[in-house]
Amino acid sequence: MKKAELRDIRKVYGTQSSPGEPGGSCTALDGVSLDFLPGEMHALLGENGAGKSTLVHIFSGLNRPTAGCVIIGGKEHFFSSPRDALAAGVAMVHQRPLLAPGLSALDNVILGEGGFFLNRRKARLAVGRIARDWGIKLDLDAPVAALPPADRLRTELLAALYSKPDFLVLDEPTAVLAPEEREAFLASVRRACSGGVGVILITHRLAEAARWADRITVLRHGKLVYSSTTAQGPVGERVTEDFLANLIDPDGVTATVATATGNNTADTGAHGGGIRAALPVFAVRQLTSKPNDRDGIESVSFEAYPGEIVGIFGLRGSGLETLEDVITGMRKPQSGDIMVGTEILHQKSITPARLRSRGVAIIPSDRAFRGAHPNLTIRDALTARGSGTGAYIGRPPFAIRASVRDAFVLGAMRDEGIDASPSRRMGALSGGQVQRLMLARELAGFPRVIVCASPEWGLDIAGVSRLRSRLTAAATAGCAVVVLSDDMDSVNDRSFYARSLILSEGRLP
Amino acid sequence: MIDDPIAIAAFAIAAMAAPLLFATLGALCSEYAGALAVFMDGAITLAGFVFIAITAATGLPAVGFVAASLVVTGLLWAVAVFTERTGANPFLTGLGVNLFAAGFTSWLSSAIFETQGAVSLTGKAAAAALSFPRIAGFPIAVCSAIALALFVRYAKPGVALRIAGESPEFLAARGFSPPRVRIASWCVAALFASCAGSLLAAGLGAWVPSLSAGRGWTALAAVYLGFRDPIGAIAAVLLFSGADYLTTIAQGTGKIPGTVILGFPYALSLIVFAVIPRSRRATF
Amino acid sequence: MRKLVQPACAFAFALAVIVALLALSSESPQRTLVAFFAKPLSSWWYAGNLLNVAGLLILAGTGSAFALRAGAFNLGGEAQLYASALVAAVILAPTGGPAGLAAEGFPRIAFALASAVATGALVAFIPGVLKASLRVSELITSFLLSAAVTPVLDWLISGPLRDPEQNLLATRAIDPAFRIPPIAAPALFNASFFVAVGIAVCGALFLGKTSPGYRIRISGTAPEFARYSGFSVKGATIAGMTVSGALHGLAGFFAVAGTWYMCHSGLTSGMGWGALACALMARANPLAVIPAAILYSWVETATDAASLSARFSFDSSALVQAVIFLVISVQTLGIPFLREKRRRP
Repeated sequence: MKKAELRDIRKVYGTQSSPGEPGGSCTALDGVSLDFLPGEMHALLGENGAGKSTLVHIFSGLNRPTAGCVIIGGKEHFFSSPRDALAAGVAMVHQRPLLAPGLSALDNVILGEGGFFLNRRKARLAVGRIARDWGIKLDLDAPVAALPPADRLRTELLAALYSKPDFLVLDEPTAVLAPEEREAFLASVRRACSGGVGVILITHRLAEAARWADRITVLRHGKLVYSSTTAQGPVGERVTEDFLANLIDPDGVTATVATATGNNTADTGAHGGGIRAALPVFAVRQLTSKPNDRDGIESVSFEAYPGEIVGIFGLRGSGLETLEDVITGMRKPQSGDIMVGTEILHQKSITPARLRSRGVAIIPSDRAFRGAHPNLTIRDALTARGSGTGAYIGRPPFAIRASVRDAFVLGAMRDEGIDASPSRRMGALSGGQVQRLMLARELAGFPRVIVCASPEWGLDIAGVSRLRSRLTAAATAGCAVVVLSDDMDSVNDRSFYARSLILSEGRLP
Repeated sequence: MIDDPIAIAAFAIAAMAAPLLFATLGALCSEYAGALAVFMDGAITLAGFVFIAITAATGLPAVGFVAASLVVTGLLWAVAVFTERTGANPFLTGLGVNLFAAGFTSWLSSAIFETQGAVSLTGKAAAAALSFPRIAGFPIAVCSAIALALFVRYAKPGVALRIAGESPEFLAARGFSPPRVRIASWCVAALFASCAGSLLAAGLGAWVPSLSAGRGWTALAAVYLGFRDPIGAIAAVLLFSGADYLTTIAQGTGKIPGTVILGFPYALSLIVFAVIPRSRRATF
Repeated sequence: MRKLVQPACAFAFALAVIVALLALSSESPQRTLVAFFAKPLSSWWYAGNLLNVAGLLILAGTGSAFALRAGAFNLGGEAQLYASALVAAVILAPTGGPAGLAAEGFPRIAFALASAVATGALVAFIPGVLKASLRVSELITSFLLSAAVTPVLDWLISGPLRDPEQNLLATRAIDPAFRIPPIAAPALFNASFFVAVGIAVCGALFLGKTSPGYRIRISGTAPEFARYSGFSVKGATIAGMTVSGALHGLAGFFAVAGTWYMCHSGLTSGMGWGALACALMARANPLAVIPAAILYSWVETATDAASLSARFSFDSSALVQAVIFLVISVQTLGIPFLREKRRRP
């Protein structure tokens, strides 16, 4: 039986320098050594950004380590692609499976094996056998495009198993399963382990890990902080959820899905030191949108009041992206409406132009291609001042008052410490700089409402604190701020968010 | 001799359909790989020219066909490699091929045959070319369609081709090389274009600058009308050829001017593209 | 300077190909090449006509460039030019023409100009609207529409609108009163060149310095950003195509009123593609279209002169266009021709 060892894995990402910001580096993994044994279920825990995904991507060949190596069965391996890892016996099932929607499930499973002709009949028998062993129920002839996310997971699982791996990595497999299916699924994983496969399970659900895993490893900030060994006996006796939660985040209050779903509307203490205004300035009512290619939202309603910062939190798969698209007017909902001030925008009328003309500013999650564009000059990207009317209209009609515009652009760049010519392309700036300019642009119009999606993503501590202080200042000045975020750690951060709402599986309780 | 007008019509439509079916199959391969085969028209005309030129020189249509295939496939291979390596827009490079074919055949025809108009086969070569029964093209084309249908369903490279446009990352993860698949699709399309061009030129016994007469564009429309399927393509092509036949009859009656009819293939394709939703997903 | 590399390469390659082919097919390559390089600027007749054609290309090329900046590809230039030329020729025919218009002088010219512009705009508007409402690619529809309409125009000229007194496939010559006089004989160079330059400059100013121009530009370069900012991307597409067609129509008008004084079969053949090639060389900047069009026109004139000398002619324009298309296609000009593929955070 082969053992897999990860020796002193380091992964350092270098960031490109940009005007006003020297290049830096980010250490995703800082010398992690770990063993995976055959026949065991090994749970890998840690918060977002702890390095779990990076580690398993290196193990499964999707990524390459800066230092360290992978040893399987005593032999060193340097995977340059997932196929190399597959050949060495390591298969991975991703959270967002990479499948071909135009093919049937069976074809997705078997494409890639040798031979000129696809022998579907023989393959069907083999795949059927695997499906039975694992208790996977799947219509092999269904086109993948028509399959729900749970079945897509099952398809990729079958594809991974078809290659008869020694080690199987599962990335948040229970995220797309209904609660009643999770037990059966983990039970079949357990059975497979007893058959000799080593399973590495990444999960956010501490209860699952504590209950099912033979061994548990916890990562934090790229370092291994805890790893139980089999010598300590079955984990369930010694390790509790609290113990794990403390390991994952000893400082703040950890927000895990288990604790979060029971804690939906936190105390609505007024933010900014005053009494909350009586009427909401931004209200979303019964929004429903079920797109084909991602998780949808159902009957979502919430309100935002002037002077407060509301946080709406959701993990991947909760429909947060769809919610963002709908409330910023980029996707029409199937039903529902949005009220801004006293005006109601009905379902089909929700467009960015209308939202903006009613005083809504938007910081999108896709800051590279939606909030700006790499091929636009800084000047062009900042000129669209969010009012929807272009910029700086003056006399003669339609002409842009270049002096006013340039003053704004140069002023914004100076305030944000960006040392470049306004004719430079946005693509040359770092993500953080783009974010700061976007914020400057959106706030310049003195909006009534600011909708931000994942604004803190990719920012360092200084950047986050600067962002928060600007948003807080805007709120104090009377703006209503809505923040959509997947950073569950901040759910209970009352120093910033006046209220927190949890979006779970498309619904806001 | 067959007198039955329906049989005559059937034979005529089948003869007209053969080159269009070849062109459609070629366009289909390119469409599978994710690029609209805008080069079809030019490729057909160029193939026809090479066919006539080599057949005139050697007296052997078979050699002419082989030469046409080599030249056109070689050209499209080079352009495909250029497009992949430089990240160029395949629509623009495809249009470039059309323009190149028009200009290059014009130059060659002036240089070799001293005419910018029709280049006719004479003597032995003409007899050899015309001896190829026009009606034989259709069964060959249908067999090619069936072969392609089987290929994209049961052969590993065929399945890869079929999804290359839609799921290139998936293919890459499974060990295929999407750029190679795309280049191969253009080469196969070129091969089909050579069949179409040679068949058209052999049927006329000559090459004319407007040899393809818009068939390259009709082929694109036929791809979508036929549900992006080789067997569906047969039906779509028969439909277009039927319409073509009717307009020829109408032209004979003198009611519709011949010049205007030249525009029909384009108009028909335009309607297909405007009306059929799945054609709007075509990548440009 | 780096921005010039690609267009310069495109032009240089095209030039090299044409020169090589001409030399190969001539009995005395040296004489042909001398004719190629020396003739075009050797006399006012050549140079003036060169500039005159360049003027038409500047107009149509500005149109193509405008569409490109709006994120649309106008491939229907051929029919837009041709149809407007025909319309202009018919309206400006001597009194008693098919329309039976009795009006004289300025109103008639204005009417002809407006009709020509409207015709071109209409032929381009249709693909624009199809793209905006049905999301059909305007590349295909504009080309197919042009290819479908051109034979109809050919038929009109060879039939109902044909000059009964001549044996040519052409409409009647327009009334001498409506002809734009050449500035200096014997070349046909006339005031339309300055109109063309003026329009190119206006186009550049509009795109760069006005609010609507800004919105159109952004919609072309960054459609998702434009939509997020509240701009109408569909409106930009329609505007881009329609203005492009209108400028082609204007070029068609001047082709008839200033150069040929009638509309014969295939009058503007090749000019639509040439205008697009100029716009691509100019990287869709209307100001740069001016030198691009002059260079392109120079190659055409030089080829004509060389062909005459070598007594050998072929469709050189298509080859020039092909090379330019192939070389220019390498970059995306910052306009999203290719679908952007990127990951969300």
